[in-house]
Amino acid sequence: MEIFSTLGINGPLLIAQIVNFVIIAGVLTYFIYRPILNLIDARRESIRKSMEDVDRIQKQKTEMEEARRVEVRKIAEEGKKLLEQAKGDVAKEKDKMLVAARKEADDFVERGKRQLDAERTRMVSDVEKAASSLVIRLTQTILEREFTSADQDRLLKTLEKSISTPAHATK
Amino acid sequence: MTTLETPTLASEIIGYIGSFEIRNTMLMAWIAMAILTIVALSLNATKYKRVPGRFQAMMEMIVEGLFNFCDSILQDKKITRIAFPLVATLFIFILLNNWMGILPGVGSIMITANHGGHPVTFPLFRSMNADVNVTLAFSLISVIFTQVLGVVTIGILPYLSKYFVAPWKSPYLIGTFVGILEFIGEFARLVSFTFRLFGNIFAGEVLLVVTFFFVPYIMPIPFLGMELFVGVIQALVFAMLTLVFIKMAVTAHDHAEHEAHPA
Repeated sequence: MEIFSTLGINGPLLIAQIVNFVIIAGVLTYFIYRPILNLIDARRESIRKSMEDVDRIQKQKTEMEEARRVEVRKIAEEGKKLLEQAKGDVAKEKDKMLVAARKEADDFVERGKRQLDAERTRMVSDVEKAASSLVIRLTQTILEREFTSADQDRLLKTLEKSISTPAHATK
Repeated sequence: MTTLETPTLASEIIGYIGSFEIRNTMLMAWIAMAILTIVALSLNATKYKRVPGRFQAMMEMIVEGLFNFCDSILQDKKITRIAFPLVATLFIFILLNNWMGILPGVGSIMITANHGGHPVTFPLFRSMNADVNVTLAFSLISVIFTQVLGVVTIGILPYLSKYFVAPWKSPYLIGTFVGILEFIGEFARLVSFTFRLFGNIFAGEVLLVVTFFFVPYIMPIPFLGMELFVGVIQALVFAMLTLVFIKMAVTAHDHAEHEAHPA
């Protein structure tokens, strides 16, 4: 026990130091460790939840992107199909319009031809008429100088008759 | 000429409360307790905001760092949660007292008291860990806590089977002998815990006193720095050894053997 006395080991003091330590451990546990550890746990839990949310959102985003890609691909395909169809329709319409235009042009040309023919016929007829009246007048003039009035009448009638018959009818 | 007065092994009585002796190391313990209590109450007054201020952030950093340190050794969150308050308090309390021991005035403010009719001069403040009663108290708390936690965690019989191995069971007499050594080791641990911390701090105190006596200016500065370092190391060693012994105590003997020889 000499050593205990030399070192100053003393029962009540030892117990007092144990009590001191227990008190300070209690104070620190109650006011510092427990609240901070709880806070850290809550923060960790909140971070974990946030990370889970991030993962979930990331997954949703990936899924949505995939769906969008599929949708875009589908729309592109439909668009392509529609474009092809439109191109076909346009070509058909173009052909139709071309046919119609050609027909119209042909009709127009035909009509023009007919008009030209009619015009020519009318002009020929006019020319013939003018020529016959000119011939008659010329003949009359000549006859007045050379023949009697009875001969004139006879000749004129014959001439008139021959003129009144169209040239192409006599052919 | 002044004489060199080295600190005595035993702490000095500075007064009495009734028949209870108030020693200079006890006074330092109370000052340390007061400081820690003020810190705890100040921190509690911040209401632990979700977005911490500087003070709260610093305390969170310290507590989380210590917790992670404990968990890295114990590797079991549940056990760490139980052991953490004890280990963290040991570390903080020992560290604070070690550092307080080199404050100006500690060991240098002297008082004279009448002891047995003789006037005796001694320091009013003395580093708490330079008192065997304190280090022994810490050791007792550490060892008893370790044993109790071991028994609670793995059960009384598996726990006792670490120390008491029947000689007719494998590894026979060697197992019995090792068990006895382990049992004695538990008491040796108490002594080693006590005197490691006491020895280091008391030696530091003596070193500082001697240095201040011979070369009072400049020369003690490196030694003060070294004492700061020793203070951290000793607190860390005490806490870490407690953790290691807890880890050993909560690990069943069979499990430990299986880990040692997995094949």
